[in-house]
Amino acid sequence: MKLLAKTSLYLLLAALPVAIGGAFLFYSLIHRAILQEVDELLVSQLRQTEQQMQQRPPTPGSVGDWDNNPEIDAKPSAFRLKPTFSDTTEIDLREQEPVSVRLLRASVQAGGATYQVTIRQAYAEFDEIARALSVGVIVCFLTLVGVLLGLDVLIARRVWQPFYQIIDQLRSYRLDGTETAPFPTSQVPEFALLSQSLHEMTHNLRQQYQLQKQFTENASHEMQTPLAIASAELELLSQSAQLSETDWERMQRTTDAIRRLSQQNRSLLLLARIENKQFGQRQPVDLRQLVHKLLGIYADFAVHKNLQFDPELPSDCLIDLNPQLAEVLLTNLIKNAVRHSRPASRIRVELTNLFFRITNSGDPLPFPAEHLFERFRRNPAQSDSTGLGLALVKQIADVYAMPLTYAYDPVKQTHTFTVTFRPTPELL
Amino acid sequence: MKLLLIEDEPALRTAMQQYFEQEGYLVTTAATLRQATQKANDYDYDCVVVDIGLPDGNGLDVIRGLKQSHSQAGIIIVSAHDSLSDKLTGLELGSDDYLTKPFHLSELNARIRSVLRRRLHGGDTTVRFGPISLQPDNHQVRVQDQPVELTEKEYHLLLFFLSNPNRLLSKAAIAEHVWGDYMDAADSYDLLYTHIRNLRKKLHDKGCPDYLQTRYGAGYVFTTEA
Repeated sequence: MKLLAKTSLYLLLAALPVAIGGAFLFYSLIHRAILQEVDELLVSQLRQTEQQMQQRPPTPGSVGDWDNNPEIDAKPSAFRLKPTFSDTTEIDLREQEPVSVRLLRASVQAGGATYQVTIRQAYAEFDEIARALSVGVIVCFLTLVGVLLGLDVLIARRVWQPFYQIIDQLRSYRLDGTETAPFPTSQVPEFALLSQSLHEMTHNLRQQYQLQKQFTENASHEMQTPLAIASAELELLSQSAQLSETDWERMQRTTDAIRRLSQQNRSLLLLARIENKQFGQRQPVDLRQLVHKLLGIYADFAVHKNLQFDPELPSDCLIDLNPQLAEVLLTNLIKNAVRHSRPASRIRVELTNLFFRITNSGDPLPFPAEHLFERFRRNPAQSDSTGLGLALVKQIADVYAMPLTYAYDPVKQTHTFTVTFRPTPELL
Repeated sequence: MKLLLIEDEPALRTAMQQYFEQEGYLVTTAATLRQATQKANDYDYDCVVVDIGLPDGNGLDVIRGLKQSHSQAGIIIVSAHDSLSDKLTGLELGSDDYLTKPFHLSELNARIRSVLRRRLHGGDTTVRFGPISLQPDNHQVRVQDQPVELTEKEYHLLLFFLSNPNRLLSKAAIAEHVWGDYMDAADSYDLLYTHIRNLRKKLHDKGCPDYLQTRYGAGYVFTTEA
């Protein structure tokens, strides 16, 4: 939900209980005020009646009035009653429905006799006014809230505009891209500060990234050069005629070790560069063609091990990837399958627009499957591998958020690796 | 054949110089961009091997200079950076090949020969060794004018041997030349053995003497010497 919608919703949610609670509170306040007024009225009427009765004491026949209000009843002379309020309902003669009535009863001494005076006052109308008032106030309140919300949305849209511009700028920001335009400045100090901080932060990030990139490249250079020297010197040495067979074997092993070290170095650097997201450019890569090419490259080796590829390829399969990484990914999966497959077996290679799957026969893993994609995790029986192939596969799959799964079928004794492709996520 | 080696690392420069002098090249070396630019201007070379990472600048500048003066020299870039963009820039500038450190000297030698062959415009590019003749344009191999049917890998094997005659070639160098990084060492040696056996048999079937000597534990030598 957008920020604006969210604040508006919360405001509305807060306004509703305030409106309902307010209505009740307001009503009860008015109700109480009306009762007080009615009571005062009754008291003053009682006093008036008392005065009139004392000036002109009622004769027994003249007790009462045509509308029986106030109602005056003769009582024994010992009768005493303090002014007492009470509520009752009476049938309204005109509207034929019960209405609330307030009563005031008191004993009055007049002309030596004692009377009970009862004064009535219907207050239903006042109550109706109270209700109408409450409802009116609440409606006004809600309307006001509505208008304020509308205004708020309009104002917020204007005020937050620099913020959305900054977000847009951030979204298009790429660490490995060229320096982008500066963040938009604003008259609002908070946004200006945000812009400024972001500018500094991205600048620092870019600098760090460049440093790291430089380090990776330098490390590559610094390590590969001594290896190149060692390799060249060994080659020159091997041309010497005075070497025994044992010497040659030693040199062969040294050469192999140098090659492995160099490959490991390159793989580690590749891992670092993938981690640093230095392979930004994506483009549609024809995976069908790539798989076809790689199967061709490994065909020799397959024939040698008496393996057979069972490819199941679509007519075309274009996936948005970095071409170099796509090749590293598929090469390592195919190489892994070819290496670890039992001789004279089949390797099933399946490619669709949704996934790449490769299945090869083989003994169960000598270690738990969750360690399979770890760096330098390898079969102790084949210690000459770099131990980085599947780590690279995992890293590349992670970069593109492509799920990578491994499964072993104990019945068929097959290892299966599946990479599931994803439609290009917009936010990556 | 005149060769200019531009390499800042003294040990590697010396090793390369020694190796290529043994191969019969006239070798000039340069250690810095300044030296390289100067020497490239002073003489005409048949081939220039240039390291990209030089202490005082980028080796690509040497290539730019060579191309500006319309030099006909073949250019091979040697770089410690396994970087695709460097490679592409180098090839765009007009270099002929790109090699990543560490490399086998025999590999560099084969590349230089290939570049030199390609520079022979209109000339005879056929590689000959005894009765064997190999035509790089169409990958055809003949022994005493009889065509030999070789697979792609066998062809590359033979060309590598012919480019490095009388040299002990390690199994590692041969395997890397044929399969590159696609194969790990242990896997490729068995495979190499099979391919070499097949190549030997095909050549032998056409009456070619066996020039390929096995040095146990070390590798192979392609030589007429016994």
